[in-house]
Amino acid sequence: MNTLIFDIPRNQSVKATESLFRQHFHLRKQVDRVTTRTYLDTFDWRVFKSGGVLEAESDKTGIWLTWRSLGADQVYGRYPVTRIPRFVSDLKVTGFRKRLEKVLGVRAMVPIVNVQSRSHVFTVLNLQAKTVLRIEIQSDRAPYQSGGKSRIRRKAMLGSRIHVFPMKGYEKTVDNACTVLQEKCHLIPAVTDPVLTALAAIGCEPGIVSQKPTVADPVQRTDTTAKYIFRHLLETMVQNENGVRQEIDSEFLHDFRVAVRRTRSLLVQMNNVLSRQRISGFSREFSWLGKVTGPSRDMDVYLLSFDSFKLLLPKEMRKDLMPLQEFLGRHRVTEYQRLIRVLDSERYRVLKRNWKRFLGLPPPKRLSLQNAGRPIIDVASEKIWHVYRKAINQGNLILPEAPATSLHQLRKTCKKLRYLIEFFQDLYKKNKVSRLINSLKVLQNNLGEYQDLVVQQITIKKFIHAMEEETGLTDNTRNAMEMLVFRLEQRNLRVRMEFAERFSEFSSPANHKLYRQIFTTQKKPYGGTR
Amino acid sequence: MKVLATYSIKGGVGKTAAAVNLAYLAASEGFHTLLWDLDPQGAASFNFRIKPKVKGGLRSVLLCKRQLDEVIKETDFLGLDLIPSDFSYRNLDLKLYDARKPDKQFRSLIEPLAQEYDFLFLDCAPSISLVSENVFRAADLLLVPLIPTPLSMRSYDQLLRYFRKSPVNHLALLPFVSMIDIRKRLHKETLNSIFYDRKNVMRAMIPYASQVELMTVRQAPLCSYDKHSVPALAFARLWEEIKTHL
Ligand SMILES: Nc1ncnc2c1ncn2[C@@H]1O[C@H](COP(=O)(O)OP(=O)(O)OP(=O)(O)O)[C@@H](O)[C@H]1O
Ligand SMILES: [Mg+2]
Repeated sequence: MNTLIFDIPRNQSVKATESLFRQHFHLRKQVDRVTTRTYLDTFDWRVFKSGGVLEAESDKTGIWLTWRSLGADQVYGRYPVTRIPRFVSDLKVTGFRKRLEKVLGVRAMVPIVNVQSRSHVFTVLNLQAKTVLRIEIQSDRAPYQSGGKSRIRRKAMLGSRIHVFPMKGYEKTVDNACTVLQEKCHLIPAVTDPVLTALAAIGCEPGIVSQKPTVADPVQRTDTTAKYIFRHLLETMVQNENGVRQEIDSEFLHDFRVAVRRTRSLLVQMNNVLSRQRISGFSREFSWLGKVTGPSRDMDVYLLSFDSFKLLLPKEMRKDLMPLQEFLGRHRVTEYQRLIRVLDSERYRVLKRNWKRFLGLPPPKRLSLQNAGRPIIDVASEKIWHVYRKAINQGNLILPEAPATSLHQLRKTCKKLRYLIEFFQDLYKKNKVSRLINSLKVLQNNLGEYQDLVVQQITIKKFIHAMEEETGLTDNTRNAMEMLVFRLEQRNLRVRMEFAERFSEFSSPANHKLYRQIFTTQKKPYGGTR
Repeated sequence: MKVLATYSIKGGVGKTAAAVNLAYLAASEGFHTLLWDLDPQGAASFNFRIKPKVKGGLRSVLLCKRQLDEVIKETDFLGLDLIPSDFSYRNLDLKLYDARKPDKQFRSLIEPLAQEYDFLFLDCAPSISLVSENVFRAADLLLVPLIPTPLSMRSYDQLLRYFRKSPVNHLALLPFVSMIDIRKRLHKETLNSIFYDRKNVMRAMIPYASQVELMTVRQAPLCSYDKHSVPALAFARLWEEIKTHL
């Protein structure tokens, strides 16, 4: 379908356009209103990237949240709200919310730009006096950014347009109206969505967040390549710091921590590439950073899982779990305060400064380290193959009665493997590598869920004690929490039983062949040792 | 998607008035709502100024020639859509007999809508027939208006007997008092016995009021243009109470 937005040319007046249109349609004027349109998106532009636009339109009478396609040819949903929502969970449980949740996940909707607009609303009625079409003539002011200190509200107008809102079951009218608007009213179908015009006016380019580093040159020196990846990870950390501080949503801390973990994981692999002494210093500091940011993340995770915890309990017990949520919320506050002190600390600042300086140093001319000057593809293949073999060996030793710790070890190895493959995936054939990643993911999901359930049982038991000491605990709440532990344990057993099958898929001959093919048969222009 | 049907064996008891207003209230809260006018007389469609006509008639929908989705009309109210009535619905029973699983046709027809809508209201014609059996199987809640008169109660008892004989799982019966006029002694007396005998009758009652009758002149849900009137407030209370049963 074509766009339903038509720009009124600058040299044509709004009044004239309206009267031209009136010659062909019986318009009924509804209201004139002044609205503020606030466009919303997540920090990583999930709405935009899915080809959508999310706008909250407020005027004196209320606020409407509209989710439509970019280019405005489709409206996915329009929904009255009492205030601009931050999370999907602020909305009522409806089909609209479920669909939106698929796009946004747990990320917050952040205002990206505000536009004040004056609009005239008209309806077209049929012979039964039933509305068959809505039309809005909108004239936008220059936009301003929310939250910014200087709200530039210039008088300048951004231009006027007619927005046609079709009604289901009356498609013919829409087609007619669009034809009339173009042919009789001399309007131009909008080429640029209003949200893009507004963003351009404040100098914001949508969709820009740091992408995954691409390592595409197979013969680049390994030390140079590693530093390039490290720089990227550092950038990701810095980019997410602000969102952590402002507590916009839980993904900022998550992404921050993933970048820290990836850094640590790659550091370990670089012992013959970068100075051993420097590496061990940085490893220690990043490990500290991972550890001190952990408790805040734990609180986030338990709060996010709270609803699914509730669902594990019988209906009548669910309300007894509420004190746990309150406990988590309280502790989250204190953990985040502690976390922000970490981000403000000298130790963190020094780490960042030294790390950045180290990454900026030019590569040494004289190579004393064995792997530093080798082509990245050789070293990467070697490392991946090595970690893969380690995972296979560890997994083979896991018998049905093996303790949780051995599964945990395997989980860590798999994570290492995953990071390595992802860092260097662009060096290899895309379809083959994504097959590997997918089969690895299946195993990782099983191991991840298993480990999470193990930890959750222990942690919830700890919470029982902590809550007892802090505020006291009613019998009902204790029962509910003990029941929760029991249910988690049952799930844990089920997940544990699935392991053997998941692992046998991962260690299948076909998969093994693929690993061997990709990571052991590369050309060795510099004669690597294998 | 929750499916709510307004139903009674007896005619003229306020089924359509309830369906129209409740569907409007659901939509005004932000729930995407669909009202299916199953009565060939098309009273619900009329209330929304929508022509009681389905392109290709009932046949095309039942034979799945057209997706149900294609015959939906958006009403003038945000979030509220309607499937119009069609005169061919008077033969609905016969058409259903032709189908393979005649009592489960509706269920499969509405299944594709479940993603899109939060509530589906079915406004039924009075009678007990193959159509109503379909409605019973498709619905989660059956809203039954009761006028507090012995005659109306008798037909409700009939319905209860029917369900005892052929029970439908998952279907909850929610009777509510409709068109009550407390000046009438008969209404008062019957009301006492209703609440005495039947525990599941809803608290909210719809009074007899001329504003409801006038809806057919305005051709819009009463709750949309006169929401502070006594009967509109009663519909709102009824809706609140219904939601506690979902
Ligand atoms: N609460 C009320 N007070 C006064 N009049 C009412 C009330 N409810 C409905 N009416 C009127 O009573 C008549 C029947 O109401 P309605 O159409 O809602 O009942 P129904 O059960 O759907 O009827 P049918 O069986 O014909 O479908 C209509 O004229 C309507 O305007
Ligand atoms: Mg009726």
